[in-house]
Amino acid sequence: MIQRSALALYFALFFVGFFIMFPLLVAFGSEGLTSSLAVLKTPPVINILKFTIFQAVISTLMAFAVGIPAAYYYSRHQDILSNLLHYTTYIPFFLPGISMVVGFLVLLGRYGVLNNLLAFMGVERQQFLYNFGAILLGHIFYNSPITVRIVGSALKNIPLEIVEAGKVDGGSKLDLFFFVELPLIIPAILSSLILTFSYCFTSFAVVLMLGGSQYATLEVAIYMYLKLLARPEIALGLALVQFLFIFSFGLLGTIIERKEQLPIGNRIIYRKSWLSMVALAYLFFEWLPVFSGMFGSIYDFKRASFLFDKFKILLSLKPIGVLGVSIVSTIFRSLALSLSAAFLTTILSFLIVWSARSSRFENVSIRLTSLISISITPAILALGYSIAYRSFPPQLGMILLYTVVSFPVVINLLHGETASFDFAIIEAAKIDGAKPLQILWHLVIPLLRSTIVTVFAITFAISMGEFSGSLILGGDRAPTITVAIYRMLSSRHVPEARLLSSLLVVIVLMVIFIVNRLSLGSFRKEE
Amino acid sequence: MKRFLVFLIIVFTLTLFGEELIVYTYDSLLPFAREAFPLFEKETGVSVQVRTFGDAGALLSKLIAEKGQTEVDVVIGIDNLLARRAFDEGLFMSYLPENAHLIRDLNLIFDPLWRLTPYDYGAIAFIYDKSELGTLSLSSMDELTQNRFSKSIIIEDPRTSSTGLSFLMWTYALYGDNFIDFWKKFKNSILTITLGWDDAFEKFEAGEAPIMVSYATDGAYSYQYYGDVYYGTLIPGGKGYVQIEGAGIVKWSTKKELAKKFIDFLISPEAQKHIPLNQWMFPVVEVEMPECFKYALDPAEVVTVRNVDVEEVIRLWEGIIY
Repeated sequence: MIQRSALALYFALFFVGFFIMFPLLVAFGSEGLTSSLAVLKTPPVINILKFTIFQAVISTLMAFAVGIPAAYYYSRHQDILSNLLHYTTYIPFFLPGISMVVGFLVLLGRYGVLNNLLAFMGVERQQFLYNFGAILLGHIFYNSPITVRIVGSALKNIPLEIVEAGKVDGGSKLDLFFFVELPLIIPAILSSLILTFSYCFTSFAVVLMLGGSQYATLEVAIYMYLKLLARPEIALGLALVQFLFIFSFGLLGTIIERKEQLPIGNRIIYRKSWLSMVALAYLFFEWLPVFSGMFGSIYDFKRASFLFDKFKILLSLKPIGVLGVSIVSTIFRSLALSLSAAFLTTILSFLIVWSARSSRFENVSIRLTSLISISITPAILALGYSIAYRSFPPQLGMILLYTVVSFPVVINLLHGETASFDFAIIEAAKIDGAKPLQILWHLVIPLLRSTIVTVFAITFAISMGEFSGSLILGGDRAPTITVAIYRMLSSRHVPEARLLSSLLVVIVLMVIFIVNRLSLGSFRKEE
Repeated sequence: MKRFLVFLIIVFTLTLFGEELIVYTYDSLLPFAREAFPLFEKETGVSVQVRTFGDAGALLSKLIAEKGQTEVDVVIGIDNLLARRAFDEGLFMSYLPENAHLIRDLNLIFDPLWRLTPYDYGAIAFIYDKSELGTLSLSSMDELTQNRFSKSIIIEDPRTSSTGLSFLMWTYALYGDNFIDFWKKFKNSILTITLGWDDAFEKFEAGEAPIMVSYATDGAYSYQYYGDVYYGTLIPGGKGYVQIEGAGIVKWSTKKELAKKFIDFLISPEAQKHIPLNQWMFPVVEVEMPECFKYALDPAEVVTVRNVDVEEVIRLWEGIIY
C-alpha cells in the first residue's frame, strides 16, 4: 500500500519526468549550460536580466493591486457584474497577441480613440505606447485576472459563520478583512503572486509589442538562440537559468506559506457595495481592448470599409491555399485537441493536488510542477517532443504540450481551493462506511465542482490560444486556428488573420459559456 | 515457409516501388510545396513527405539535435545567414545540380561548395505611406538619420524576426564595422522595434509611423490582392540587401540519388514558376513572372554578407540599443 504523501510525489515526478525532462534531455542533452553561462556574462544579457527582474516585480505588484478590489467584489456578490468578472478571468489565457495589439492601437494609438478625443479638444496627440508604462498596462491587463480568479475563489470559501463570529466580537469590516479574512487567503495570495511574477518574468510578446525592443526580457534571448541562431542547447540553458530565478521566488513564498483549513459553511453574499463602481471600471479596463480588437478586425480603418466579405473565405468548406485544408476543419481540430487536453489536465492536476493534500510533500509537489512548467518555453518543449516522442502522432504531442502549458494556472487554482477544504467531512463519511470512490463521486466532486469546471475551461482556453508549440508539432499535419492565423500573416493575408483571431475569441468565449451553463446552471450555484 | 516467402516478396516490392523522400522545411513554405511537389511525384513516382517545424531556425535546431538519427533526406529553407551554423555542424553533403547553369546570377550562389543550392531570393526594403510623405527618394541609408524622420520608422527586432535580422545585416553589408555609428544616429528615427513583421505592419497600418522595414515585393502583393498599390517601396540609393534561401541534401540520407533528383527539380523552371505567388520572392532561374511583379522593386545593386558572425553583430547592436 503506497502512502498518500509518496503517491503525490510519484504523480508529480511522473508529470515532470515524462512530460518535460525526459524529452528535453533526449533531444538536447545537457551540454548547453556551459555555453549559456558564457552568454549570461555578456553585458547586454546582464542588462536584460536586471530589467527582467525589475519589470517583473513592479508588474506583479501593480497587477495584484488592481486585481484585489475586483477579486473582493467577485467573491462577495452574485450578480451580473460578478458573472462578467468570472468570464473576464479567461481573457489572459486565449486572447491572441494580434488581437491585443489591434485593441491597444484602437484605444491608445496615435490615431486611437483617446488621441482623437484629445485632438478634438485641441490638445496635441500624445504617445501612450512604446514605453515602460505601456508594458505595465499590458501586464496588468493580462495578469490581474489571475488575482481576481485565485484570490476571489479563496475569499468565496470563507464561511459566513467565521465572519459573523468576528462581528459579534465587535470587529469593523476593515478589521474583519485584515484580521480574519486576510490570514485565511494567504496561500491563494502567494499562489497568485508567484504565478503573476512567473508570467511577467517570462513575458515576451506583450513586452515587445507594447513597449519595444529596449524592454526585452530573458525570454527574447531564449527565442533568439532557438529560432534565429539555431543554438537549442544555449536556449535550453537560458531556460534553466530562468527557471532558477522563478523557482527562488516561488521557494520564498513556499517557506512563509501556512495553511488554514476551513469548515464548510454558507457563502457570504453582499447585496450592495461601493466596490461596484470599481468592479465596473475594471470590467471596462479589461473588455475595452478585447472589443476594440474585435472591431478593428472587422473594420479596415485604412480603407474605411468593413471586411465581411472575408467571412466567406473563413467559413467556406473548401480548402484555402495557404492552409491546404478548410478553416472549418481547422476549427474542429482545435476544439477536439483542446477539449482532450482539458480532460487530461483536469484529471492529472486533480490527482496531484488531491493526493498531495496535507502531506509532507504537498508544497514541493505543487510548486515544482508549477514552476518547471512555467519556465520552459513551449517551442523548446515541442522540439523535444518531436525528437524524443517522434513515434507519437502529432495530435498526442500537442495534447501533452497543452497540458504542460496550462498546468501552472490550474494546479495553483486547485491548490488554492483544496487548501481550505474541510477534510473532517471525509473522515465522517469514512466512519459511516463510505468507500473511496463513493466519497469522491458523492462528496468531493460536488463540493469542488465549480473549481473542476474552471480548471477544464481554463485549460481549454489556453490550449486554443497556444501557438509556438502547435506550429512545430502540428504545422504540416494538424494545423490549429493559431497556426492558420500565423500562416495567413506570413503570406500577408492580414485582414483574414485579424478576422480569424476575433473568431477564435468568440469561439472560446462561447464554449466557456456553454461549459459553465451546463455544469453550473444559469447562475453559478457554489454553495 | 511459403507464406514467409510471399511476405518477403511483398515487402521487397513495396520497398522498390513505393519510394519516399522526406523533406524538412519551415511552415510557410507549405503552399509552394503543395503546388510544386506533386509535379516531381508525377514525374518520378516518388512520394514526397513534407515535415515542417515552425520557422527556419527551429527547423535547423531540430536537425542539429537529431544529427545522425535523423530520417530526413532534404532540407529546404536555410538562408545565407543560417548557413554558417549549418556548415559548422557539418549537416549537408556537396552536390552540384545538373541544371546549376540555369541560375541566373552567380551572386546568388552563396556556398561555393554547393552544400546548399539557392532556390529563391528577395530584397528587404522600406515601405512608406505616400499620403503622409509624398514620393520619397533617398540617395543613401544615411538620409534616414535626419531629424525629419525622427520617431518615424518601425523596425523589427533582429533577435525575434528574420526581417529584423535581415535589416540589421543590410546595415552591416553597407557600413561594415562602422555599422555601429550608423545605428547610433539612426536610433532617433526609430519609433519602436517590434516582435515581428505582422506586429510592425499592424502599427504601420494604424498610422503609428509612416515608414516600416518590409520587403521589396510588397507592391506586387498589394496589387495582386487589393488591385492597387497602397504604399511606396524604397531601397535607399538602390543598394538592396538580398536574403537568399537554399536547400541541401542531409549527409545521413539513405536516398541520396533521389535527393539529388529533387534538388535538380527544385531549381527547374517548372518548380520555380510557383515561387513568386507563393513565396513572394524571386525565382533563381528565368521564368515568366506574374503581372503583379512589375510592382516589385528590384535593387539596382545587390549587397549581401557572407560568413559573418551573426551572434557577434547582434551583440554589438544590443550594446547600442540598451
